[in-house]
Amino acid sequence: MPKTSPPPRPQLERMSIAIAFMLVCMSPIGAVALEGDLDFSGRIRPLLASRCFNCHGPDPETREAGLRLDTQTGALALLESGDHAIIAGNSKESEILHRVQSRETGYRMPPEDAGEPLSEEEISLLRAWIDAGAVYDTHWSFVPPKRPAIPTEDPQQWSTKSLDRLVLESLHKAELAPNPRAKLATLARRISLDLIGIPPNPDRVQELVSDPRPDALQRYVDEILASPAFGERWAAVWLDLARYADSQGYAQDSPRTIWRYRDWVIEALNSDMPFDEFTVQQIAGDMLNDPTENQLIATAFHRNTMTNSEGGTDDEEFRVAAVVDRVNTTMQVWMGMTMGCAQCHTHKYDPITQEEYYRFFAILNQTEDRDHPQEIPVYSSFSNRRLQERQQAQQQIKALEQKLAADPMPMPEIPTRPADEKLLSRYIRIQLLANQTFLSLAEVQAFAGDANVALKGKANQSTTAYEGPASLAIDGNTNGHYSEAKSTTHTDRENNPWWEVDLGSEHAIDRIMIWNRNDTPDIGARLKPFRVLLLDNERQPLWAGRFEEAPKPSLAISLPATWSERTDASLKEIEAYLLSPDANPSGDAQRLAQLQEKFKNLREDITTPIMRQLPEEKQRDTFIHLRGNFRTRGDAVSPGLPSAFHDAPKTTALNRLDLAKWLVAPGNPLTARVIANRFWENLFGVGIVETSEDFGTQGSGPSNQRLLDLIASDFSNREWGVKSLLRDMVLSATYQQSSHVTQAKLEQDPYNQLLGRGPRFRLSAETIRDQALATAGLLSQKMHGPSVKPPRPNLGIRAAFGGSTDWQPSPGQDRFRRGLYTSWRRTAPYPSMTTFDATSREVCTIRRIRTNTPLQALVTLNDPVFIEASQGLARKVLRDSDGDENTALRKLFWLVLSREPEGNEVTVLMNTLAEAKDALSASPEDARQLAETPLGPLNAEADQTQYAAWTVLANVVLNLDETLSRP
Amino acid sequence: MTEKRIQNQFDRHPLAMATRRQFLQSGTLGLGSLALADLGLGRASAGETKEAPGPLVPKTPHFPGKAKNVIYLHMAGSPPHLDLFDYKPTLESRTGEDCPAEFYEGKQFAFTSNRPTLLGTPHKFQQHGESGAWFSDAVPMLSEHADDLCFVKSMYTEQFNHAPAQMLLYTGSPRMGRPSIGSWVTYGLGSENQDLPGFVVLISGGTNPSAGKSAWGSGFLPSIFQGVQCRSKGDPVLYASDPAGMDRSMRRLSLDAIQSLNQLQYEKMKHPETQTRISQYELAYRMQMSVPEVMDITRESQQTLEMYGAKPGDASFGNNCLLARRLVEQGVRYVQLFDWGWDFHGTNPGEDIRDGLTKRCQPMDRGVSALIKDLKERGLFEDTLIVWSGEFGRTPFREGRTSKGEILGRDHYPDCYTLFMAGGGVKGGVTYGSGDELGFSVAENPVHVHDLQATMMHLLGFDHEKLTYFFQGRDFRLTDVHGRVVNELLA
Repeated sequence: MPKTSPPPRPQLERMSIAIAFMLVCMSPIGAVALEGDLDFSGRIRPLLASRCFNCHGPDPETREAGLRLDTQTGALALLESGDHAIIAGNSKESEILHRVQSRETGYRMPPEDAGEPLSEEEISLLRAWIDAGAVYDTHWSFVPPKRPAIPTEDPQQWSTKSLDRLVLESLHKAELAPNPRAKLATLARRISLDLIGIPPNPDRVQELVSDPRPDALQRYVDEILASPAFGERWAAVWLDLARYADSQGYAQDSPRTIWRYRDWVIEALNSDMPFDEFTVQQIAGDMLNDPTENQLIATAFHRNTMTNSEGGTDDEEFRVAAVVDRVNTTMQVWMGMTMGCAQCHTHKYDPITQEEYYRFFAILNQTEDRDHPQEIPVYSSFSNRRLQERQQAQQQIKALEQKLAADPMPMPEIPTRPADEKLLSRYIRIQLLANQTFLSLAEVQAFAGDANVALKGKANQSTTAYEGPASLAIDGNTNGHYSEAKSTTHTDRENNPWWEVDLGSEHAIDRIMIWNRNDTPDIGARLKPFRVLLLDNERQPLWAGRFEEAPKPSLAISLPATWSERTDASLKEIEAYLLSPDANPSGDAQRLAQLQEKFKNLREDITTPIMRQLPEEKQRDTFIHLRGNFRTRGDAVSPGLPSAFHDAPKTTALNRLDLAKWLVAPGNPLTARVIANRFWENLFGVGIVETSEDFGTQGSGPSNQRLLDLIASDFSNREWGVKSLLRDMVLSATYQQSSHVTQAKLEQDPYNQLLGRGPRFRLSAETIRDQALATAGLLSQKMHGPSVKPPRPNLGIRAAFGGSTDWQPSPGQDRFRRGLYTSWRRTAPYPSMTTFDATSREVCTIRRIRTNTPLQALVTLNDPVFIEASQGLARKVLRDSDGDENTALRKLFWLVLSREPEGNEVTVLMNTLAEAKDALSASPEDARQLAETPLGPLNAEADQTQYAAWTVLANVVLNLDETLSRP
Repeated sequence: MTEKRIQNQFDRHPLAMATRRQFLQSGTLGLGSLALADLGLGRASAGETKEAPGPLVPKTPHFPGKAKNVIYLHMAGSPPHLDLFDYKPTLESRTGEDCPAEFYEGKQFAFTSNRPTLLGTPHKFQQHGESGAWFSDAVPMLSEHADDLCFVKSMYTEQFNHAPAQMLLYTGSPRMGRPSIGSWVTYGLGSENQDLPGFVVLISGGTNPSAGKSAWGSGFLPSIFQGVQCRSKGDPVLYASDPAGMDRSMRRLSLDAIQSLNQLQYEKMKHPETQTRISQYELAYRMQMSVPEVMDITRESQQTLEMYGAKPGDASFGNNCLLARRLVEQGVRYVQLFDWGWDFHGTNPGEDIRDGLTKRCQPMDRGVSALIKDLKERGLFEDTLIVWSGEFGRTPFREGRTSKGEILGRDHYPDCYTLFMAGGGVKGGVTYGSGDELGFSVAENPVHVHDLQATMMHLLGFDHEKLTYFFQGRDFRLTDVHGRVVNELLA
């Protein structure tokens, strides 16, 4: 073997300092990233991870030869073979180096079936690192960010901002210069599309351009940040992470009502809720002290998991699947770590063991939801419409009550007859004088002499329920046991239920016997207080009695024979009857009772699934699921958080609230970076860490770590303010560069990771739709509420075991709402938006991969939604320019692109316009359709050919690459 | 196709940005090395040609595959294999007996919880062809192709509900989020016709399969690789029709304006993406013509229509079989059919395994037979891999819920079932693997759905362990960490 020359001395010194430092203090904060080629995190660990960890990594299940190379202790250990894989400072004696250089099958590492041998370059790197001491340091992203020192040098006075200084430094290192600043009008469009997802009003752009104040742009930015559209734009981004959808997913994919969560996100963003609070409320809002309605709704974040209501499925299987999703989503969204691998085995590359996975799982395994088709537990609330109905009913009730109080009913006249005339009864009526109760009677007997004349009568009652028709009280069976005798009547639960028998003709009744239902004393006690009433042929009251006690089991009532024999008590009861709603079916009192009943039924009509902790005694035990299968239980585990990161709170039983606080704790090395990076990605097209979903050892690493650490530490230090984070970015010189690119820059930095130009990339699916509708003046400003159904092609297809996936478009302005309000059915997401890479939201999507496909062209060229927008745009520009077509063209450009058309552009478009008019004037029916379908008829005097040709022109402009891109 | 062309593609295409890392990290074989050689340099050759080749240009697999195209015929709901191909005389003789405890105790079934009774087939079985393969009287036309078919009677899966079983079959995982096999195939192979989508999905029976779009989704692969659902009513591809009142010349006029302005924009800003968009708009224009053309079966002879049982305007299985042939003929890489209505629980007469099954089989029997015959006549059979299957099998016993009724039905069954393959690279006239005499478990040569996937990928020229995509910190592949190529099926 060739002799290896010793590494240069200065480097050695630096390394030994690093080693000493690590030995003193092994906490992540103490670790120091090594500079240059031998940076462990940057170069060595990725090499070992991709080529060696599969068999020599953190996972003990797949570890070969007892060797692990992911820790220094493991790498330096004495192996079973008697060798040391690595001897620090001595590559010649390190077995690993012999192995990777060997060509001998069975000896060579990695083995043939695990891939190609290491390259010469990789071997040299490994050798140099071992000779320099084989120092391990912590993966960069596991060390909390510190605000970096800011370079003071900037001879060109490009910018005073820290962010720009760091960018400029890296540009200078690459011998590049930043692009000049973009035009103000371009910036106006860029900022507006970025921050609120809709293009600016041309007048406001002109105002900005002519505003001489030095802080004009700052004012513009602040104005935009204050717009309610801000929350809508950024909610669309968060909802991808939250996997928000308006359906349950899986085969049936039934509708789900969870839009209050979407509205919560919009409002949280608009009110600039600090991100730590935003986090805690979503993960554990229900566990805060005395949680507010909003805090409960926020927990719907983790109720966006799917529910399987397909017949024959095991609810526990899908409940577990939902908890698994929550574990994975939580770590992905906040900490950019992929936990998923550890579900089945200890993570091969990142330091997360399978046991740690299930300890995390245990924290989220204690909520009440259980894949129930009704999505319980839910938070019930009133819709605006329901609130209005309630208010209306309340007002009516109040008015009636006042009226009745002010003007009580006149004392009714009690019918009288000659004193000795006999009381002849046609009807016997029994009524409970109580609300929300049942009336059950075993038998009612009416004796005229010895004959029970009721047996020949016809019975009726207010309602019938539980198979207890009114006739059972005149069937001759007095047995009051409901289920045994099956001879008792039964009404529904209601106010003042009644039972009545029509004897067919008038009879002189001497005696009435009432037999109560008597299965149990409690049930028997329902029959009190009640009134017995006798009525004549004309339904005039003859006699009445009020009874305070329930018959046990029967009650005999002796009746007077003549009119004069009636007692005062009876006359008083007749009076009470005559005053009751029962005697005045159309009176105010009856109306009042109806209204009160209606009001009671105007219940909460929105149910939002939320998280709710199981009570202590019902908490679940959690086990490791061997190979990820929940039916194969391994050891029981207690709740816990991965140990590779900052410490978890010291409590025996970690719960969701502890988890939430841990995610945004000051020592958390990842959350601030991950979140700041994601906002950066949205403004710059690519994150500083390109793999925004993976900050682990397999991720891409930061293109400029100091830049990332600057924005991350500023973000968390300034109370996690999202708006100030974005404000800093858009007010930077870096962001405001022109986006044009030169051949040289394209060659040197094709993906703009050095940030030497402004970013230009395609707009999101939602923004493409919103922009088209906004420029046409069609976009609705309405916020919040249930999701809407804009037009889309019918497919004539049903979901498996579910209903049609087609829909009837929403009427009125709901046709033109912003894209984020579109009903998101997982099995049939809105087709034009998915074509532009919107996802089905079945699982959390960290970043949408942008594509550029012919199917996208078909959407913006042909989708009736975009044709409608083209028509709206054509009408708007023609109307606003009094028919002057040059003015109209300028307006068109300003509306869509925030700029003047250039000379050659005007030529192309005017020629197109002329040709289109020529062709269309020859076919008026085409012209009419092109101008009016689907937007609707033009004024009678409008020139259809002109409007049709301008629709073509508007369609052209809405399809330009510049329109579909951030400028 | 030259290497240069592929290089250009990744130089210039926006996907390069998204997939660069994936390619860089996907090892050094096949696709990886091509892209590595190129993308590592990060060269961007803007402004050379007006039209960038799409991401679907044909690509070379790991080794020459015997099949070039795939037609997957999925009987959604899962047909009763014991009444079609897997003859069990012992089960027949024990019909009505209580199911032996070992086969149901401690097991979970979708709709059976009490002790069920054994159910042999009510159909007549016969052997056909030189191979002597078994067919029931429900599939008379298919039996004429006995020696073309390759049966696997030892298939198994872990999933006994439709949606997860379909996802496992198509994406390698029972949970949502992974790319489907059609996406993997087009990602690996591209497609032969740039004017048509590379991966087409056709649905009959009016209902999506239970797994919905996940069965043809691209998961974490770029969305260009997802299946495109083509329809026989309305626009064959969404938004392929020009707006009302706009004829082709008007569309051309407006497209020319778009392209001129985009070109001006390109000259000003020099973004390669602008050029890609120019080429995608041209492709869209061509697709507007080529898709309706390929989907228009009125161009077929009356005789062909009859052979398939196809009728213009229908969304029938026969139509879709005919369309599958037309698409493959035009160079579409992967055609996926889903036919709804094979969930034979016995909850209605249509789900009775006696007459119900015979009726249900008629269009299928006819369509598949016609497809095999037609592909052969056109010389496409050798290049086209046909797979026919459900997502699992059905129980050898009567389904629990309906066991007291008149109608005979079977429950879902994952432990042992049957599928067949034909064409591109598989042995005809072969029956591989078998179940026990009652059909409860695999007796020999088990084939898991991951093995099926591995075998299909092999037939197309891929080592299933090496066609990977780097996502969330690791290389993902269709077969997860499983799968073995079943060499015995290969011609």
